[in-house]
Amino acid sequence: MLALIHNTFRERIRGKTFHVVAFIGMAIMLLVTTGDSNLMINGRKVSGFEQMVPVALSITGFVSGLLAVMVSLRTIPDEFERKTTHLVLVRGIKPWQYMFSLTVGNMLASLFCMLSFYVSLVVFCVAYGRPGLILPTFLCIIVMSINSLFLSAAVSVVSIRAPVYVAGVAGILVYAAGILHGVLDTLADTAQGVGAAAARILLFLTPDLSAVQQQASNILTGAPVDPGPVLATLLLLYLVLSLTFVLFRKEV
Amino acid sequence: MFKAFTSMIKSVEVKALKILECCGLVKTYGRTKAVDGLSFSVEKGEVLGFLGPNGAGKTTTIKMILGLTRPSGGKVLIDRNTKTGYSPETPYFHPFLTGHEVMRFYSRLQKLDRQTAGRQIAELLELVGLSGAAGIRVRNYSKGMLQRLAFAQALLGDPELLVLDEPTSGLDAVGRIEMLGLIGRLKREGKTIIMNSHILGDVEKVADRILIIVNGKPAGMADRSDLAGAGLEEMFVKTVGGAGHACADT
Repeated sequence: MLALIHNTFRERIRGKTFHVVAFIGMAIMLLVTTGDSNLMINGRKVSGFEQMVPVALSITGFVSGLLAVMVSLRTIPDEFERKTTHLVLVRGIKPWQYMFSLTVGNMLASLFCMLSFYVSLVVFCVAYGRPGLILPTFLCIIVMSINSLFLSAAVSVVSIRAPVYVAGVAGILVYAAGILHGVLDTLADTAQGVGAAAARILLFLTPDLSAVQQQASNILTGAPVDPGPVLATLLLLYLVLSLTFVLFRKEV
Repeated sequence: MFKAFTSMIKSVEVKALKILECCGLVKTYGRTKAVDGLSFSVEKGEVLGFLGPNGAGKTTTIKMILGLTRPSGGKVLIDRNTKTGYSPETPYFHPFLTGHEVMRFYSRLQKLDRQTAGRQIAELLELVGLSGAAGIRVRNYSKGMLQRLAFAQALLGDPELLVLDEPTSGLDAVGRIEMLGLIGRLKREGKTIIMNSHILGDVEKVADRILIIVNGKPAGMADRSDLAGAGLEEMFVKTVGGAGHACADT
């Protein structure tokens, strides 16, 4: 299994898409957070460190989420399409070991991408004269990476049975629902009938990615951290990963 | 939901001389019967040539033998401990890997220890004439080079049973002669080989027995001695001509 995980990770990291999106993401973040920013929110200029932390983390979260979806999208369908599955399965590798390894490989590639964004956050802390926050920034990135890991696992699992575009759309929907969890919660409370039921189902199936991002932000700003959303996301990640044990394609 | 494909290969006591037995194999795709009641056995140390026109069900049968597709009916009986090597018709590898990395990857999947793997990889790449290209990414390999690499990876771990699907396809004349020489050498070393090919001459050169299938059904079985009078070509034309052509593309 380690050979499969290593191979998947290596393939994802060597991909051009990975490098291009990661570079663009880092460049945008450095431009927004370290330059003489003219960023305005609700008509007020956002410039202080405490104000910029959520902005920096939002950019990191968005780009790494996008990368997690893109990195994980093609791995499993590619294996089936180019029939590399045959030479793996004839060697006694069980389907669940195969799917689990490919998913973990995708997750590791997403984690690697998240860690590359750590560099940008370190520059951000240094630019605002907070070098003491370099270590907490690492902890913050680890917490935020849970979101990327979840997205990567979800897209990988969907792609076991569904075509690439379905897995991509599912990934974006999960990300949007996760980030808009608060809005969906309000919607579920205020709406009635089918709308409310749909919102409740979506809330149940998707982790509160924005809450996880908020806890990561709290680590940097020194605000109290609530482990609840982080643990809930980890639980959902476990459930999604366990699907790799039962899903496979009929024909390989 | 799935059931592990490998579990369908029953671990049974196959008669001492037989390494593999297929009993009444059936495979259907919708209403099309790709394989229809195919029974045959393979004895240890023999080369079984598997012949048939396009769409006869040869590759589907091979996929069932390897556990890559579940039979709709019948059984594949093979000892679970039999080490099997497979060289696919269209070799497919991760394009970002070099030839050496491909071999290393599959040796790791087979859990070969580092030392054994290193030695076997070097020997096999030398055997198939790819030593000089071992550091080149396989996306830059020609079809013939991919075929050789497919053959080399099938030999990793010293398998007892080799399943070769069109092993000479994509090779030039010299490559074909070399490949048939290699198959002959492996046969002399006692390997059991199932060779699927549509090139009659190739099969005739190395096979001990030849199984012809048409429309997924066994249409004829011949020993090398049976071919002494009439050639394989004559026998094949007679058999296939009599049975008609298959229409299912498998």
